[in-house]
Amino acid sequence: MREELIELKQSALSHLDRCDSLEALNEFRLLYMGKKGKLTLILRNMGQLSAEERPVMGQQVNEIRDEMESKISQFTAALKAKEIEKQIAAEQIDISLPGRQASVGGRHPLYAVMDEMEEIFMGLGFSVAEGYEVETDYYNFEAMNLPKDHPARDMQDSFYITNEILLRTHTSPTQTRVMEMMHPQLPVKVIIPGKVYRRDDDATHSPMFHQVEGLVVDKHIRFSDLKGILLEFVKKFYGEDQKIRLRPSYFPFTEPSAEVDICCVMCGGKGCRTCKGTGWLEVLGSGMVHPRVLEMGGYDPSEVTGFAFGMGVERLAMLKYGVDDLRLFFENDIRFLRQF
Amino acid sequence: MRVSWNWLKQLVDLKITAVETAACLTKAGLEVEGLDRLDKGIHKVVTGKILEVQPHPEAKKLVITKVDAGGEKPLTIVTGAPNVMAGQSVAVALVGAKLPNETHPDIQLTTLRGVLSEGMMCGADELGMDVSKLTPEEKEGLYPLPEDTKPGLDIVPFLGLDDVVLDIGLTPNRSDCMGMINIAREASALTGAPLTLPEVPESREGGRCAELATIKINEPGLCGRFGARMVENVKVGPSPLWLKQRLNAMGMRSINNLVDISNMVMLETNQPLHFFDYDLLVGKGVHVRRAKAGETIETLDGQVRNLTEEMTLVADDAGAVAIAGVMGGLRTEVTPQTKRILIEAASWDGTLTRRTTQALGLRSEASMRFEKEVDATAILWVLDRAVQLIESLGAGTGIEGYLNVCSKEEKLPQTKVRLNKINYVLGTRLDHKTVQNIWKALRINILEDHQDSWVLESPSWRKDLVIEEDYIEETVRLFGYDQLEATTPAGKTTQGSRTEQHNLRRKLTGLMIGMGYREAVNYSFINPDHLERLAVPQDHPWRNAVILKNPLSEDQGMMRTTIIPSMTELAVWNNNRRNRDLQMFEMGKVYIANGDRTKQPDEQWTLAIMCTGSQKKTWQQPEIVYDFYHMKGVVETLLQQCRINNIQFVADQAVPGLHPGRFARILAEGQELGYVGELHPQTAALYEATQRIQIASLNVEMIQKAMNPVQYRPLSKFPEVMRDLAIAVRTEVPAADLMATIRQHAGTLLKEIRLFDLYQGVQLQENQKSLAFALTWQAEDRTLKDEEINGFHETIEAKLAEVYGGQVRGR
Ligand SMILES: [Zn+2]
Repeated sequence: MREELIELKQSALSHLDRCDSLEALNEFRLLYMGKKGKLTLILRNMGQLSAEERPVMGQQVNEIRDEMESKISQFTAALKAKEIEKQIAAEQIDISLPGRQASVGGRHPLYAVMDEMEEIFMGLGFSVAEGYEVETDYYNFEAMNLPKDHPARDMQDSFYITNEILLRTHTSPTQTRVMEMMHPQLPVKVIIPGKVYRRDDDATHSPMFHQVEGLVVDKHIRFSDLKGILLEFVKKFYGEDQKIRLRPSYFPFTEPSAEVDICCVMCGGKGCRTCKGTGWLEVLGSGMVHPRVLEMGGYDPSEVTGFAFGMGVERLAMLKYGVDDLRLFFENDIRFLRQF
Repeated sequence: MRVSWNWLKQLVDLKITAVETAACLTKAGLEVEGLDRLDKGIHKVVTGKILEVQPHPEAKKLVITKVDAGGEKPLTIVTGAPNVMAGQSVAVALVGAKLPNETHPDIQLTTLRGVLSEGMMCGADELGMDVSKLTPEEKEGLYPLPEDTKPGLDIVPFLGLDDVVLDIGLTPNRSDCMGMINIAREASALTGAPLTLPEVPESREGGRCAELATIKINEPGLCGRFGARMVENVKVGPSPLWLKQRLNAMGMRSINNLVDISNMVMLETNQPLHFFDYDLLVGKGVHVRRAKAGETIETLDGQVRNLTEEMTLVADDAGAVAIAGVMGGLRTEVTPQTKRILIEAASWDGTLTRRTTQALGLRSEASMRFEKEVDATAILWVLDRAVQLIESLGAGTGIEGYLNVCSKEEKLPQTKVRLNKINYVLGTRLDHKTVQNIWKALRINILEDHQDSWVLESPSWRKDLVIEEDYIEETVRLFGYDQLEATTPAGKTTQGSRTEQHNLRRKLTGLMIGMGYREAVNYSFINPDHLERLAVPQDHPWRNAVILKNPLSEDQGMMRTTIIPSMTELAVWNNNRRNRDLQMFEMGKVYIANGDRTKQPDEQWTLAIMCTGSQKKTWQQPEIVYDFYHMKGVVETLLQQCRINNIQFVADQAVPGLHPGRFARILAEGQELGYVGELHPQTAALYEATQRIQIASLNVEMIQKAMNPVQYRPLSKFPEVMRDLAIAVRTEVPAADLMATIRQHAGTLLKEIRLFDLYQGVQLQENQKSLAFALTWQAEDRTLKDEEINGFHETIEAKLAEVYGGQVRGR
């Protein structure tokens, strides 16, 4: 039996060497180690052996089996690796062919700029409020301290629907609506983005355009706070090194009023065509809320103060992206829109 | 407002340059938008006298002149100018001279047809003058200088071109600065430089003037104060050079000595004047009254103006002689024959003047000033100033005395101003003395001076100083906006947020972008004729439009009630520019008028979507045509993302402008969210569309209402069961009906129903189509048994056969 075993081992090992596929390995396993396999039969016949021989032979059979098992798994692994190699060789593709792109659209540049402004001001604690585009004369003008016959409300500036209803000429009417809604809560701290309309249509004016208005009302709001908030905004929007300049100006709904210039983004303040050689660009109007406006919003001007500011989105977008023609924003040429 | 630097320096003794002054004014709110040097680089141009003129032997059009240009010898200059005469004084560009006009290189010795020319004589345009402000004699040919001009003088100072014009953008509150004296006061306040205003001899009330003329204000509200003086021995003639130059620098043209004086006084004092030919006045005096209905006046510009009772007139016994504050009448105009004049200086009501200019469409330098109101207390000084100038120019002799009618008390506003309020509002720590110095610099009258407050009276020319805040602005204006600190508001911190609906709009916008759509921004107004192109029925809600009373053009005549025109034009505009394949959207409003048109309309946020063309075939993907189903899929995706269930697409009532066979209204729980469809071929033709256009419109507020909250359910541990079901039905049976029937009979555990094939063709009878569905069931608490599912399946098949005559295929 011992000889039988040695012979079996020899022939098995040489058989194993000839196995060159996973199928052949499987056949081999069946032939030697299957239910009726050669090694299995030897084990089964061990009962005929003596009590001393049995454990010795058993051990030998097991050793041979372990050896074959480990050989099989070695061979299997090698064969598997080979097959994967074959597969890889067969599956080579031209990775230079273009990929299957997802089509993604995009935000209009004006709204991309408005989004950014909203995010910055929300970060500064402002909520975003909205109002009506078709407004009453009262909210658009009177509540903004622009009584009837005020020189600043010339007929040609506004689109009228009736004598009392018009397309809002600025986002300011929403100031009063927000104050009425909030009163008597404090602080009022909102920005108001939206469409506004004026009777102007030329290379630098569109009859419809966009503004973002800001309003803060609280106990002890100072003019210097306005400067601080606007400086903060300008730095976030145009970059940390950006400087601002406040100049006295006039708006009926603020007192004192200030025009705010930023250092020219085109020339860095040296003077160029965009800034007409001044080195400064006017970007927004602002001021301390006029006491009449606070009153009409329901707040007592002897108790609270506030500031307000308004800026044109088109102008900011033109400066930010270097767009030189206002009309491009409303033509919606897909070749223009794709650039943002 | 154009401001002559030389004139300004006469009124205030400035020790700084024009550029520095401009910076100073800008910092204080008088924004200098431009500095215009009048010499424009002129160099080596002098005055000269033409001594003789000889014909050029070789050229008919040229002459040879000898010109005394102040040098040792006269110069020989060849010229082709038409109006050359011996004895004339002209401007001579010497050899080496620079002229502002770019077409003229530096002047050199040149030989013209064999004769050496030692310079050039200049016309107005060659001297860089604004020829639109000149008389015909001045702008054609050589620019004429006064005959007695000394030769050899530098032309730049001689013509007053050594001046700089400061172009100031005035804000409406500072209309006082339409007068040079008030700009000088401002410059003085800002720099501390002393004022050097003209000394004017004062006249007294009444006198001979009162014997000759009378003034009456019939209605007090029409005119605050009416003052007048008279001049005799009037001599109308040209103005002296300095006056012409001054007016030119200020942007006005010289007419004659009297008109020029009236303009100069207006520019100096901000008080417009009017000169009447006294001898043409009927009844020897004027009165102020309202116009009568139907009354007319022929104004100085020769136009007959129709007047209304809203308008104020200056009239004599024969009728209107001037539209108050706007323009004088032709009948009493000052002419070369005029012997005596009556000078009017009045303070007309601003609002009334404004209404009149609007009604007449006639705005003048005078009306611009009256609209913002003038300083009535200065009127008598202004009259004396005008007479002084007339006498000094030899244009007439003042008649002793003045007339003065005052219809309302001129009380200047008094305001209490608190130091702590100033510091509180500005965020500053200014002391009493600093602020008080500001009041003094601005010539504000301090009526009461307390330790922590003042009672102030505004200067008569500053109509803009009324409330405490106005004085706070004055403080910071002079203190310097740049001196303010940048601080942060002290109050409690707040959390920024957007409204829920705003967030939803942003979500929808994000989804659209994610699906490949580009955002567009369209005008909110459209041409009303779009409603006809869409064939909108007369009783349709889209006819409830907000109509603009004064549109710039009919193209912007109404606020849109539907987004179809905007989206169609968007597609056509791009298609015409060879942008053929489009997926675009807009988040904007439509405006539906209320029944009551005196109220504001409903502004409805709308998501408008448009696609046209296709996504072109690639090496591995077939072309995807942007057809109805493409657009419908976008809508379905959006609504699913908003967790809106039970969406129905129905085609019961038509949507104007959409293809009747390719459109659907979108319903959720019976509520209409919007519509989707292809543009009606008839409408497409009217827009000259060359491609099929798909459009969808979704009402954001309705979406918001239909949305469901997130509802988490644990994941089922049990397997899904899937079955396919193919059924042949008549072609007209809607797929949605089949699916509804399937759902109805598939039990509550049906998870998904997916149409995976639609077949029409040879394997079927004519008028038949086959739809193949993949159905998926799953329970959360158990493994479903085959028998259970078979039961459902059989019921479904039976029902489909019963209701639609459907035949199950492929079993
Ligand atoms: Zn620049």
